[in-house]
Amino acid sequence: MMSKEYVGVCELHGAFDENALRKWTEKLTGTIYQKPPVRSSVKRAVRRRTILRFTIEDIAERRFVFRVVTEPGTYVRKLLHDLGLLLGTGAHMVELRRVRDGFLKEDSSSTLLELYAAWQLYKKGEENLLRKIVKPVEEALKGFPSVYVKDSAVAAVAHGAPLASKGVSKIDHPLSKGDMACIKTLKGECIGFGTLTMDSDDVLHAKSGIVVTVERVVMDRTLYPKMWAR
Amino acid sequence: MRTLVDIVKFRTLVKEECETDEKYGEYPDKRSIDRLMQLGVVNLDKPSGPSSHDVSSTVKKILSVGKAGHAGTLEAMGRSWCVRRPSGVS
Repeated sequence: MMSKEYVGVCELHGAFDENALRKWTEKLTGTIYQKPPVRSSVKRAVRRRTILRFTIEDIAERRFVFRVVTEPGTYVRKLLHDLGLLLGTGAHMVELRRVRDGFLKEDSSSTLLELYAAWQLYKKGEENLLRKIVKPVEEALKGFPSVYVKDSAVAAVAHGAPLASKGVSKIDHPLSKGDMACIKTLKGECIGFGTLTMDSDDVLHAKSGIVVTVERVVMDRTLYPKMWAR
Repeated sequence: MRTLVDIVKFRTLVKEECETDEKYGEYPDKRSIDRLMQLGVVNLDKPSGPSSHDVSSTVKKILSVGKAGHAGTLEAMGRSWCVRRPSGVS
């Protein structure tokens, strides 16, 4: 699971003490309890989330700029609302922008217009700009744990078969039974995603049996030969 | 088990060292444009007006691909950027 980083603006509803504000953001760093807001797309059960960073970047009158790093499933608007309650003034979030999602950062993003231009250039025979903007999906999976399979097992997995221990060449460690992992070829191509049926160190020593069940296949299944058909 | 993988560092253990045959497959950075449009991502700077869903459909039109999706929406008020997947991955 990848952390997300946000920058936003919050407005307090009354006079406040700057030291108190900084103290409460510090107290809201670490593990917090949060109830999803009324207007949310998930069940409104109290959840535990880790706030990895919560800092005040700038203050002007009753507004301040904050930076938050959280794990997925954290409501930033709610975090700021709760900060307002703790301060005793009340507060609401005015603006929010995600500046990083896992390894993907804002500064490497493109606009719709750039994408449009790149596609038009590609149609005229120039593909360099398109390649700069449209990246292989593996780029977005950097840092996500992987299991690397032998060439001989690729087609079977690409057709949805579970991965047997004999098909494994390498595996990221530490992973636990039940964890999701990306299944990759030795060329680094993403075949799909699966769930581990045992811990990564057990996969390393397993002589036989299924080690990963396949949940989703994304690879073109014609890229590798069907070794089982021999 | 919830772990933040960009904080947890993984190391790759080798079960069986193997060669890969250059005859098959495609290294991700050598992927043909056709296949790249099937299995690619765009780190898109989304304007604050239209919804992620709106922008997905615009991307679909611009690239004339059958499928496009996004991997995250900020709340309705938010100005965000999202990941576009010209196709495939959920």
